[in-house]
Amino acid sequence: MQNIFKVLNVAEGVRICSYNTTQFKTGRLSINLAIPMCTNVAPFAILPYLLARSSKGYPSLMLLNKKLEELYGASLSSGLGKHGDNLILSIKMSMVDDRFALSGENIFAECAELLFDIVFNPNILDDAFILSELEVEKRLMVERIEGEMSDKRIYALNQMEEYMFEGDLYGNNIYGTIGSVLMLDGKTVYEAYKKVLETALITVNVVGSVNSQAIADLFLEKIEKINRHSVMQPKTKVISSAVSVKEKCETLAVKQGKLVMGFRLGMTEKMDNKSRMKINAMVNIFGGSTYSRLFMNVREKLSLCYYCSARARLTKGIMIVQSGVEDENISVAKEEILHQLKDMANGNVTDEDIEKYKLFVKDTCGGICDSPVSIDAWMRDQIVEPSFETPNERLEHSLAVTKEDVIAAAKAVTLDTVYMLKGDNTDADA
Amino acid sequence: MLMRKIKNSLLGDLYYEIDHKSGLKIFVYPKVGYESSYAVFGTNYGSIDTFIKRQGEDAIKIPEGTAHFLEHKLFESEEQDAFERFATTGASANAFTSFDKTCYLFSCSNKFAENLEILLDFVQHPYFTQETVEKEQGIIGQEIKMYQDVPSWQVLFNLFRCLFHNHPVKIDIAGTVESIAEISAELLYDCYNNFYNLDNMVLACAGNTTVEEVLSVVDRIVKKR
Repeated sequence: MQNIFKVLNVAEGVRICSYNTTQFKTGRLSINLAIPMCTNVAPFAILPYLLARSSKGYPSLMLLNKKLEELYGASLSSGLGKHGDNLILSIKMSMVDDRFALSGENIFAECAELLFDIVFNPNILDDAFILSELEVEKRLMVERIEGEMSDKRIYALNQMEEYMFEGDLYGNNIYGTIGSVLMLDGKTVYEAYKKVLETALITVNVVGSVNSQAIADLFLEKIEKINRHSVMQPKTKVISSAVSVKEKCETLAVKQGKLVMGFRLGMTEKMDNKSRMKINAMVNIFGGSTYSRLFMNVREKLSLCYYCSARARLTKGIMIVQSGVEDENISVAKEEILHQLKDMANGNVTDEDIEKYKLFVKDTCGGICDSPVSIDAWMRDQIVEPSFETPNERLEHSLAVTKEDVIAAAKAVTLDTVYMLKGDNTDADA
Repeated sequence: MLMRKIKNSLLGDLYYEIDHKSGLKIFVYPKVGYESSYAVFGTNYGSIDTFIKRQGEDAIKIPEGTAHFLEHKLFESEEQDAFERFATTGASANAFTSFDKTCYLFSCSNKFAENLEILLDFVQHPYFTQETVEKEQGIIGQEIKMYQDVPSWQVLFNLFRCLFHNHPVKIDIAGTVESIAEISAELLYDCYNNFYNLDNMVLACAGNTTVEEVLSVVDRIVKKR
């Protein structure tokens, strides 16, 4: 089933990933651009949103939406993410599969034309983005940043990252700061746009019953007109272990305290996929599911919280534990989290733990190829990786993990940063 | 047992609607070529159902958040809880309570029949003790507080409180820290017996499965009428 992944390296730093299938009624097409994180991300971060609201061919959001309606209600969305020390800009489309077109139209090809028009023929005037369009997206971006500040779960996570990665660009918010967004003008953003097209690593993902070569040709025709140079070489700075523990406590008008802990995983920049999966197994058994140590103990046994989970960010070599707890229980929860980790490092990992992990990962990998969106996400996740890994390959690596691997991985973990958010005892409703 | 085939020839898809002899309504949507399957087992009981009736008595009002509390507690059992059982198959299990329903679900790409058996079994075998009820008050208390810090959720319920002066849709689904403190094991059994009978429930399955596979598990596991 999974051998229908196809990867074409069509030009320097340009990859077409496809998954050809008639399994779905919906197709998926996305363009993803990776650039290094930088001091001022704002002009780059706004691009996927700004580009997806108008183009030369469809100079207003209304005209663009009208075109999407004509394409049987195809959808267009933007995304922004961080993968290691890289910022990933995405524009994605979902559309009905060609075989359902009432008059035999090539909907996918038309969507590709539209998406590439959006990316390569932006709505500019005199080498600057149209101000009225930019102003709307600036406001929306500010609202997005403010929205993250209001969501205390995300806020606490962002604060921890900022503190853990002081002096490292990885700690910067991917949207930029409100101040830097407000400063944006049409020329600056256009300069950023040109830089992205000229230097980014690009992956175009194609999922559906389409000829990916035709999409690749269409894309090449466009990208060949761009003066591609100094294509970025993805790099991520990985610090293997923490020297000392940093702690920060903040007080805000919240009902529930938050505890976010950042750990270093003992990884290096050049770790292969197989070794990565050993660490991934450890993080999963520690806090990645409902059978994990954190769920079973911090939540179920001690009733300290509703959620307490651990997630690995393997490219950066870190693990993040997040929990929402009563202010006065924060230190109890913290001690229990560390105790569970120590317990695993001391060798208290059972064959049953490993068995449960393998069953879990088998189940999760099995579902990846059942949805166009998750296939697209799988392919996007590998944009900065030197080689392409299929879900089956990852599963193989995961099934090879042993108890000893997991214990060794737990031993290598060091606590780097603890961030706590507590209520200030005033009524948050007031 | 009555089985209807619902088909869309344009899309080439079909699903089955089955009235099972137990009273349970079943939907099966086989998806050819898929590795994963899903099942949801739900009852017509949510946060807006605020009264229960004990045999021979008048209806009594139950504390806010009881349906949701019951959802959490059904995962528990005298032996292995449901999460532990699903850990032996690898499935991802979850549950949710909305205004008008409580649903238990899993997704898997292996051992569908075994998972379906666990799902049907744990939902049909309540096990509550005063001790485990008290333990859950701590966990749900934190869930409630988490939502109190989510602006979009608060705005929604503020709107409901303005729009509906009497209708129980204005009640927070999880209740309040105070209301859930009133919940006892006995009350949970009463609510369970009021709402969790197969005539009031639906099972929906989709993905890598068949009507035969679903029925073979249902026939064996569901309680007789």
